[in-house]
Amino acid sequence: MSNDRDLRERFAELRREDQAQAGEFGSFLHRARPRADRIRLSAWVAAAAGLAVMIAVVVMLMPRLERRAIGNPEISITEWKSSTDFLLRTPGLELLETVPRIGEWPASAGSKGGRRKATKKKEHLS
Amino acid sequence: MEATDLQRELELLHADSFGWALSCCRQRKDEAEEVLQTAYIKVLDGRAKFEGRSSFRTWFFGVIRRTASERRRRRWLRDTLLTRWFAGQPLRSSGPAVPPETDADSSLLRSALSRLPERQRQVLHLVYYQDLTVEEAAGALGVSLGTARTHFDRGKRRLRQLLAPQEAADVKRS
Repeated sequence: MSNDRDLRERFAELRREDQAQAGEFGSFLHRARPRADRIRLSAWVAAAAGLAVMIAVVVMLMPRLERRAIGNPEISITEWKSSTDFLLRTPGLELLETVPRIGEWPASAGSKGGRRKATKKKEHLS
Repeated sequence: MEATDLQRELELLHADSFGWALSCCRQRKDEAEEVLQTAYIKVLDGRAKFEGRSSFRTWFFGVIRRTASERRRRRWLRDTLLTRWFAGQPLRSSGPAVPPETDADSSLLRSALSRLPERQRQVLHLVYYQDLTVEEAAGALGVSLGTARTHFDRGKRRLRQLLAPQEAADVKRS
């Protein structure tokens, strides 16, 4: 505790010195006001400058964005095709998509020779 | 609290607040004045509101501490980023740390305090210089009572260690 008292005395001395430098509250506050106004003004100026820069950037980028939008018109959903669409087109798909008729061969069903053979068979039967 | 009441409270605390601002600014008078002025304006403009959860003194010391650390952060940012990037100049030093008109004992204590970690220095200042309890100091620093006690004990021990050899040298000399 005696050590504590010693420390307290030392700090009290420090306190006396600092208080001598403290000055009057009134004059202190008087100096504080214009400083605060200056800080507030500079904050407003900085905010306005930031806003101006943002607007300038948007204005500069606008025509470029518009040009890009014209160059790439939106593709309609009905016109759109998948890039892997060809994988769905299997050989002989026409057979599944058309109604077969008696006496007629689908275009892709067989070779010329096959077709000729079929007509000969028909003639022989008749 | 009315503006006039606030102003009266601040006026009563002015000398102590200045001492605390000095401690928060590592004894730099110019910085301390700037910090204290900003803290006054914060309170009087209503940006910092006293809600009566602690004593006015403890609360206002908290405002000063926060203002000092905000200022330090801003200054660091300005010095490190702007000065280095745009001008390539070295960091600015901000005025003398120790006031010129001090006696030997005080300057001994000031130099010992400057070698302590910030938290320890602040707790010791609040308890010995401002006569606050450790609990009130914890409130002003925004830390728990246990943390404040630990900083207080460690700080006190370290301060004694720092003062002892210098005192012994003084005794020898005399």
